[in-house]
Amino acid sequence: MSRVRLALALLLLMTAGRAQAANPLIEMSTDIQRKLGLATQPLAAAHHAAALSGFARVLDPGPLAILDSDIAQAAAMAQASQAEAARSRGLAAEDATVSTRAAEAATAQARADASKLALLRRRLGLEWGPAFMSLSDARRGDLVGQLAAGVAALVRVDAGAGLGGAKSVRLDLGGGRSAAVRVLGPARAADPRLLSSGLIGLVTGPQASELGVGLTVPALIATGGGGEGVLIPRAALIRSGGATFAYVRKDATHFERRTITGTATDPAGLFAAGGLKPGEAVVVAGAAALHAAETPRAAAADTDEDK
Amino acid sequence: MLAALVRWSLNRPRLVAAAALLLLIYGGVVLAHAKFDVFPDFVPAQAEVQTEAPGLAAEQVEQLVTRPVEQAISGAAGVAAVRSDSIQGLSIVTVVFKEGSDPYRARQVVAEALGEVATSLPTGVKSPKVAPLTSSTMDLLKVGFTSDKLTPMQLRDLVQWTVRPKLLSAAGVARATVYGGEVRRLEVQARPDALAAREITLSDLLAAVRASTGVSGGGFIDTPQQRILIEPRGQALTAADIAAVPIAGTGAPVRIGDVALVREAAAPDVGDAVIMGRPGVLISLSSQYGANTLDATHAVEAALEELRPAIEAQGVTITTGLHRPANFIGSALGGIGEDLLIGAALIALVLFLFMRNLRTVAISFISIPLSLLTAVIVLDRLGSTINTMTLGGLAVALGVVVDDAVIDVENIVRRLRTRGDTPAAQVVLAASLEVRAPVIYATLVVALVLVPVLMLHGLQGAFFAPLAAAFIVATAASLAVAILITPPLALLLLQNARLDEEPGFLVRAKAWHEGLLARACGRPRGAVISTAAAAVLTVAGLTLFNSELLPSFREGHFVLAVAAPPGTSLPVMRRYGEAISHDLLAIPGVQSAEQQIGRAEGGEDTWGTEKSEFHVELKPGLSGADQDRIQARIHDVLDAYPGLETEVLTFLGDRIGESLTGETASLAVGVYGADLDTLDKVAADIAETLGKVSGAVDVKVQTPPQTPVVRVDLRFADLARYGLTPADALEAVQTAYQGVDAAQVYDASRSIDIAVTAAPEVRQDPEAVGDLLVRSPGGSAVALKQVAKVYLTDGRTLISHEGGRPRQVVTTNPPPSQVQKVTAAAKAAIAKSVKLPPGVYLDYSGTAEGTIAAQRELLFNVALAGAAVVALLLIAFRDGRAVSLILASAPFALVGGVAAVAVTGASLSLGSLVGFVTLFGVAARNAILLVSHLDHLIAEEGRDWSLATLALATRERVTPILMTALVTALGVAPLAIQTGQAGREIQGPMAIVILGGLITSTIASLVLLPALIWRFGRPSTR
Repeated sequence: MSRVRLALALLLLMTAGRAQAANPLIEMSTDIQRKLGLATQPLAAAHHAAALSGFARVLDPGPLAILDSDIAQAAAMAQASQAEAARSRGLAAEDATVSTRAAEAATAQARADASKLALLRRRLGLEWGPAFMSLSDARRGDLVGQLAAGVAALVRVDAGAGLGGAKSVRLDLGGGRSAAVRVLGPARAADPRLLSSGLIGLVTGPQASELGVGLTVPALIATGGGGEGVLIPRAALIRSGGATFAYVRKDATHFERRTITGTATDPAGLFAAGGLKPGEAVVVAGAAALHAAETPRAAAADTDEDK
Repeated sequence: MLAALVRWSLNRPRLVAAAALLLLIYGGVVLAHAKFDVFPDFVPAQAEVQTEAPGLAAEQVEQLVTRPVEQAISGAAGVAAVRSDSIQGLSIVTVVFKEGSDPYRARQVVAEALGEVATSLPTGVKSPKVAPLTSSTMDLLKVGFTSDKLTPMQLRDLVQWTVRPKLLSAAGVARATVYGGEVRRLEVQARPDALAAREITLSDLLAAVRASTGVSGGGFIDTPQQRILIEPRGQALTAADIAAVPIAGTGAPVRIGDVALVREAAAPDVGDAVIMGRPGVLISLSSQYGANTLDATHAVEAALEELRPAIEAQGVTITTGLHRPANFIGSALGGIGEDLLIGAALIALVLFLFMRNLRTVAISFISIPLSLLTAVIVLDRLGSTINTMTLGGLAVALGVVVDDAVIDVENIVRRLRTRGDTPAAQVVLAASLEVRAPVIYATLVVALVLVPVLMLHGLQGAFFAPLAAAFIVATAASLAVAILITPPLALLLLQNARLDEEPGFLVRAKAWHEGLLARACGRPRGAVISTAAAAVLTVAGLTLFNSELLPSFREGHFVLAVAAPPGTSLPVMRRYGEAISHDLLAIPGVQSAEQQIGRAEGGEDTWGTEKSEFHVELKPGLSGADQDRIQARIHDVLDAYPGLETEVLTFLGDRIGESLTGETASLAVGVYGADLDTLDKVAADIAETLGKVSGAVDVKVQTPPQTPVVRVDLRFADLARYGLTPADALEAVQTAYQGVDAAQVYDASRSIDIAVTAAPEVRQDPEAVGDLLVRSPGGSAVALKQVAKVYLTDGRTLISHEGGRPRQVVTTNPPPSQVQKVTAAAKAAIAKSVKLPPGVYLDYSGTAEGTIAAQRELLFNVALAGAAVVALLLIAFRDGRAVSLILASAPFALVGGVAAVAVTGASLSLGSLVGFVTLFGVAARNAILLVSHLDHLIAEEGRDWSLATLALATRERVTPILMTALVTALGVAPLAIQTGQAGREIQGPMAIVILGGLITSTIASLVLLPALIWRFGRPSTR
């Protein structure tokens, strides 16, 4: 047991030593800090939501409305022919006022109409995706009504990367305005330009009226990933040796270099999931001077003029 | 013939005197209009080819630009060496031509070679440009502009489009490079997503931008009476105009403004400037090859003064003289001119003390301005400038110049005192002819010993050949004056003059000397031993002293190279500049400080953004010690900023070092081979080995370390999957991050670039490069990271070539006095410890190699000249023994110089060596005159070979030898006293050697040589 403890202690010491080596301390006098305008800023905690940028194209709802109408018509016809077939079969069996042949013809017609209806319903799925196939006729009818009234718009969302984890989508309408998209489900046809399988979504509300058919707008697709971390100002970042790092103030004259991990770009800076903690004072002016101080080069090369 | 010449001039004394006066006046006029410069042109004929390659990394520049340019130039006629540097966005190829090449012809050869290669360079790479031909010192003037009222863009506009053209048109200006401020351009900042959404490619956008600014002529209509021109005007000139232009081929009406933000913005700059601690704009002017630096400076300053009211009215502060080499030229020439005048005045005093007759003094003294001005006329006709080296040559020649006349006048006076009834003209003729032949031989010997210096090659030759030329021309002129002008002047002024007897102190000195001579001749072995010991000491001293090529210069100006780690941005360097400038300006004695960061297009300095150069101008009139103190303080300031690579140089020291091998270091070890990684490894090994060599300080690998790079490795299979070509991806990256210059618009005399680039938010994160949307002409669009591996890594900042081979350099800067020793130790250590991989080889260069090469060449030339001197003396004396005696006196003359060097620091510069050569000439001259006078007494006057005759010959030579020694010593004394001060850095050590040597050479001439003659000189002929 004591051996295990000893091994653990050694391991801890080694790890600590490695950590020390990985995060060297840089010294800079307060006078030079002042001259170079060195400044720090405490880091605030941040949440980063993983997102993809893509495009949303406003779809023409006409084919959907026609299909919906066709379905309604086919459903009515199927319903009528079904009733006719049932009546014909009953009469033929009861009093033979309807010939068996006529009853069989009515049954065949009913089956044909039902088949046509089924086909039209499947076309919904094939052309608009399974989400549309699963909509009830009433809800679909309402949707078509909203589309026709201009209070809703159907969009197809595509992005270069896979859209499998897409949770929500926001459209950039320009001028700082955006519109939320309710994702209805995957599209059935791929976008050949982006090689994207695509999503079908619905925009409702006043913005829908701005989404004319054929319009393409940028879209931000939340993929559900991301996590907690800090948002680092761009001025704090130094890149070298294939890594990105920042300097954290340890005391008045000492700074520690921290390599940043789990990064993601953000309009306000660089999100980092690892390497820095909220509240730490990171150098936001003069980081390059610390980097220079950390990698001292030939200082004050005396030349023949010096002597 | 000689007699005929002297007789001819004696027959026309007034005419000759009038001609001499005319010569004086003409010489004065020539001097007033001569070209003045601080040094002779010391940089060999060379051309620098700069090729801008926007957006390319150093490796790409090396492969795609530098190599083709090098290959095109290497085979050109007359090329001696080709060096190159490839940095991000720029290829610099330096072509050095063989010595003596005509620089204009050299440039023509380079331009022709470049004509072929220009078409084969990659798209986007600009045409190679040959840098303007500039003078050796290059810098003419640096002027800074700062303003609280104008924006950086407005300030840059003012300097670029108002100040620069005016200053560039001043006579003698070759180049005007502008640093700092912001360069105005119109940016079409495309939004990749907006382009993709509208299925518009970058090519479509570029074409639309180009179309918006197109200009074409409209032709004309001929009416029966007139020709009416048609002038269509439809060029978009403003951001709003450009934004409103439709993009063709999109089906729908899409305007440039729909997919891009068009705005006026600052072009991505490659350089910046800090003036007196404040951000500003710097204009750096270079002088034309062969231009008169002083005249060109005055022309520029006059042009600037014309502009000053208009500029200052806009709230701009002009700081002139941030670097003004004319100051150094003025102080150096003024100082050395002052030394010449002081020397001349002292000479006049000595002449008066010895001759006690104003007329004799005037006759002797007039030979100085006549000879020196004749030399100035000849040098001016040969196209040489009047510089510190030529003035140094004239200063050293002072003694010899006046000596020719002194010998003549002294002999004429001596003969006139005892002429009796003989006509004065006859006495003057006889007296002149009596000393003329030995004076000619002596002068020829002096000139001959300077020939080795005249024949030096390279940088050393460039510096010292003008000095030797000035000396030889002045000496030859003095000979002509002594033959043609001194006798008639003596006849005119002395025929009726009352000539006093010799002054008492001279009589007493001669009596004392006679006793000394008798004792010396009584113990000739002592003279032999002294001569042998002097020879041993001289050889030992010359061998054991440390040597340095050129001394430190006191220019009153320092150049500070300050570099941060590669990849450091311009704003960070500017911040350093503000802080360091503030510290520098706080040092007492510092007048101004400016910092130029990075580079400017077409500028002479080709650095990345992490490198900068400070120019620190000191207040005028500071002594050498003050300048050393300030230099130490500058080091303290720079050392306070951790991590910066710094170097403190004087401007000329920097230029001289660069012109040798392109290196400013004392020792540079070049590592050559094909593989850059191998070179790096070998260079690191050499640096480690050098670090252990005693005295090798500041060892560093010269090529800077790696710089952060976002590397984009295209995956061709993925590109094919999306229907993209590599060009689509590369073009998208270039446009987004570098920008593409699509067109130019013209506003009055200004041209403004229109660049198509990506929106700023796309360009701000290296981590977001992979998200860049790439679109093919077929319509497919994809993020870059889906078709390429995009990752952060390190890349090279600079790739150097020498002779077309990749080169890595390790440098060290031992103290000047130890350079040669450290070089030898370094070579031995590297040979022992560093194993070179196959194909890798080394070379050694730097100031040490230059010193050794110069000394070898000088020794070889001296040997040849020595043979020529012996031959000349044999012709003159037809007696090997006499020649041996003359040469035997040389070591004792030189030992004084050796002692002077030992006392003043035991360091042997080329200036010191030239001093020894001159000393040999002076000693040989005295010996020739003594031996020949002894010959004259025996052969012409019928005296016997006896100690009395020898004593008489020596006694009659005491006055001219003492006068010669004194006037030469006093002529160079101001230079020796002022050694190390501005302008006397090279001549000072030379003067010290001459001063020390004159003491022993006088003893040799008056005591040792007669003793040796008494011991060995009794020939059967005598």
